[in-house]
Amino acid sequence: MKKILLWLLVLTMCISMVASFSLVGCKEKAAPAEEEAVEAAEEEVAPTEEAAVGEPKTIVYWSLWNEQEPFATVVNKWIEDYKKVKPEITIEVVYVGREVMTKIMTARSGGETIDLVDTESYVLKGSLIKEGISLVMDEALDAPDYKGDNPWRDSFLAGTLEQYAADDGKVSVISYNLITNGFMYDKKLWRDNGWTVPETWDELLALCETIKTTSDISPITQDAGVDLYNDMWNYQIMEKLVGPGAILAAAGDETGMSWEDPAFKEAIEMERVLWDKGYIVEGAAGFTWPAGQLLLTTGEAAMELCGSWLPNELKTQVSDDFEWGTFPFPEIAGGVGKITDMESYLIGWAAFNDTKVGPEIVDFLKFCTTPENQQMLVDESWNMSTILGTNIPPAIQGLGEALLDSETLFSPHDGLPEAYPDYYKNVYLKNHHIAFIGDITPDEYIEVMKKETIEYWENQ
Amino acid sequence: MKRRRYIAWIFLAPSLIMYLYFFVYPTIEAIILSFYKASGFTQNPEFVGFKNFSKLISDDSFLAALKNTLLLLVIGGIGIFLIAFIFSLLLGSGIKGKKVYRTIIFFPFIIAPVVHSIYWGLLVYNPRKGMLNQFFKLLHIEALAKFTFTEPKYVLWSVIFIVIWVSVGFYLILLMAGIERIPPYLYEAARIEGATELRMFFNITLPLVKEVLVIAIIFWGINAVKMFDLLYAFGGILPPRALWTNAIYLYIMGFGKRDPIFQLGYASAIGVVTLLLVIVISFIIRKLIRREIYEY
Amino acid sequence: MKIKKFSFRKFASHTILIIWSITVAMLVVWMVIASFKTNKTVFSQLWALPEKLSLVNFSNAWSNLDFGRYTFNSIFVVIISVALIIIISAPASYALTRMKMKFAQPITFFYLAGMGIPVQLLFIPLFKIMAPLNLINSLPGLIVVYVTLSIPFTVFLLTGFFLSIPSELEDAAYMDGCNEFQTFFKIMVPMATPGIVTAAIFNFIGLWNEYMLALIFITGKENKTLSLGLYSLYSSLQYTSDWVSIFAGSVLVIIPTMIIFIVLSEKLISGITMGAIK
Repeated sequence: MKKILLWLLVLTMCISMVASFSLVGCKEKAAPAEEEAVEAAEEEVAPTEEAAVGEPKTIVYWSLWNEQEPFATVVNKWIEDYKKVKPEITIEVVYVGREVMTKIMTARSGGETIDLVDTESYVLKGSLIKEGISLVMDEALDAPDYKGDNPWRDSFLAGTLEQYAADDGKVSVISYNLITNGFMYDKKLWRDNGWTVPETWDELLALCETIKTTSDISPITQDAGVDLYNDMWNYQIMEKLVGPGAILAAAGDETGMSWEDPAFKEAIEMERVLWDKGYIVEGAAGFTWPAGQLLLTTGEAAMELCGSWLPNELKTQVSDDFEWGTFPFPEIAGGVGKITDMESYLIGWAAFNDTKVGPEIVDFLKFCTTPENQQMLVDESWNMSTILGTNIPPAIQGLGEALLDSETLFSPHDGLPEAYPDYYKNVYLKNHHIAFIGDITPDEYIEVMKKETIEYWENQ
Repeated sequence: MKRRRYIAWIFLAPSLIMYLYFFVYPTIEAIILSFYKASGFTQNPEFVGFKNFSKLISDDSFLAALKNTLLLLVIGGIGIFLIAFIFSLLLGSGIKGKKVYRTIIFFPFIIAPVVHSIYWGLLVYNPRKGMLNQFFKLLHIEALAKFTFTEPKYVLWSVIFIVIWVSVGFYLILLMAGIERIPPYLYEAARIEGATELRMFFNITLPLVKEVLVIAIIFWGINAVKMFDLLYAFGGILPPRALWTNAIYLYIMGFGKRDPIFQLGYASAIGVVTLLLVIVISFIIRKLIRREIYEY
Repeated sequence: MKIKKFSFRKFASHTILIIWSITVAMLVVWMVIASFKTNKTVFSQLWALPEKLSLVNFSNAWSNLDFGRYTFNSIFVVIISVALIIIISAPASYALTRMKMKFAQPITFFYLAGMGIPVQLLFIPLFKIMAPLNLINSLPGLIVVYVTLSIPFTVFLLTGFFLSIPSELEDAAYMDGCNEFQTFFKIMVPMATPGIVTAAIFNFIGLWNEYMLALIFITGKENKTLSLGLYSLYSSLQYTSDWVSIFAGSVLVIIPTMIIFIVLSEKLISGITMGAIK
């Protein structure tokens, strides 16, 4: 009797396991996208004629945004509005979060269909573009935009499409969100203290000295626990000294000799001046993010060098009479970079070249990149748009104006993350971080950069 | 009635099937991948033989990660077990409120790691307004009042302390479970013979909790080497380099958070090395604490 | 004299334990207080009390975390996973330790070696296997992953417990005419209850706060688990800066864990003491 019961138990277990496998949703088996991707090894170009109207199609769109972020709200609105215009197109959006590339990698290897992804444009360059699996958009860009007046290409701020083009110049990344870098401060605090915005490095130093000696406020706050925040000083200084691309070139120089250019050492020395003179708030080396930026909100620090997302990020934490002000990185005497040379940190879309809904994607993206739709995003997110005709969010007026006047746009971290990602992380950021907080001297920094650059290339 | 040998296989079957199909087979694929150069998106991985492994040996970041993993394992382990033993002694000496204390000490273990990283990073270790620095300021110990607990030089130690603080309750419960199985009459007999508390600990308690101790230590060993969530969440945006252990480094090189490194083959090699590390460590632990089973 | 010494020791014990407990309490108290504050004041006035005790953060966290559904998902996934883990691991552990199998040692090692595999390596290969079985983005699929990945450790734990059960009981059972299944269910399982409950608790705790695997294998928001929801709240901080919702959410997340732990730990303690008496 007991034996029968036992076998019954085992049987039930097996049945329930099998049942749970098959009871899972009525999802169709994912198309074997892998085979097709191998076939379509040559780049596919996005066609410009639309498919027959009325045929129901689905675009699977995985996004780096989280559900709760303002971007998700706007994207949902775009999708809703687009549905009214094109009811036969269904856009399945999944708000994956910042791990979107990890998930896409996993899902696609399992054969799942994903048509469209958005994430930081340099990440797209370092993944889809590098592997050649992205849908090229050049033809679509030359065709008219959503309203049909001008080529789509012309809606974008000059340089933002080319910034992440493939090595052969073909554009696959449609960047829509534009973040830049500069100093943030409280206009009211500065007004009350009579401080003025510096336009040269020497003026900046003088201002810091004034702030330090005449008040209890720390001149500069820094989340010095985050190595990529610290790097903002380095690539900005290098850009102003010798123009963009120097760090990138030095990273790519297998002999390591480029690091002997005196500008690299000078940059570290300039950074160290800020610490040695006490302009950077005490204890910053031990700050855990976001301890540093919080000092800006409480009025304990006068300014912070950061990305232009900062005002939005802190908007719920600042007091009611806080007035956001921003100014670009000042020029350095004797350097070639102008004050209007600005960082262009982009977030954008790319499609996979094995997608079956290329024309639909193009149409949807054109819809999303009209000035009206982009303005919604600007208003919600306080980030600028790459689309001309949108305005600058009031909080980052100073930086936005410099951007629009700019003749030179450079990539964050001098383009290192997408070009040599492991070098960027394991050699450059590693050593810059300790040089910045003073654990090694500028000379030691140059020596170790030379040595480790050579080692890096030997190990490739 | 003779025992039928094949019945054992029936007992083994369900777990073995799941294990083989959903675990061993993927593991073999992952191990094979360590001999290739592959990004997650590529269609054609490139065979490179042992190149990933030789790269690992000369990779400073990997060696640093290995060192951090071992530090976490050893220092964390010593801290946890030392404190857990002390607490088990304190709680075992018949004081009131034993269950309450045990629950309180255990509590941090069930709180999500994200909360710990925020609380400790921003509130306790914050050089400007954090609890620790304020506390030392009150005591007028200048050196410690300005100490930056979470700067790169010290952050690993600070986080190891957090790990100890979070985990000690769990291991305490395990140990106490083992200690409570010891029949009280052994202690009675020893006390009559005039033994001190300390001698009773070393001669009765310690030998008899060996089984539980081995399980606990191996559990800690595995968790220390694979520890991810707390370290990944510390520092908010990105885990600071000083906290990189094998597990974190693997993730960064393979999947990255905002860094398009995507070197899956290399990451798999790190995984293989980690696996070997765990096997070696388990072996060492077993040898060090030879298992004896006391039946009573 | 003897009595005096005795109470000094107790006093010292209490002092140490109380100091430690205070450090724990500070975390809990701060977290709870913070979940009543607003984003403006939570960091600027670290130690102040909230102005008013509004539950708005909790309701935000509830809706952001879709608390009702996510809790159900988490409970569903974790409880079934734990049950299945025990159901398949206990017989396996018993077979490996007490049924005198020929290849017991190598097979046991084979199981235990799995403890050392870093889980991230398995994301892609596992995904490739599960996709054709329609197990992606489904709670049963997540259960399969959780169960499989917990097998090595659970077998490790249970083999230890089974080994410590005296074999006389087993022999007696056989002599009484029980077959293998009866012996297992009627004798061995009750004896191994402390081990089984321990394994259940360990697995429960580990799986409840787990989010990485859920992140990879679950896509749709209706299938998300509680810990995954909390993690996405955390990673949206860059643009929402809604710290207080995270604190409120964490408080909400702890409640089910606390309840289950309190319920189960009683069984654990009683199971162990019973084992000792036997």
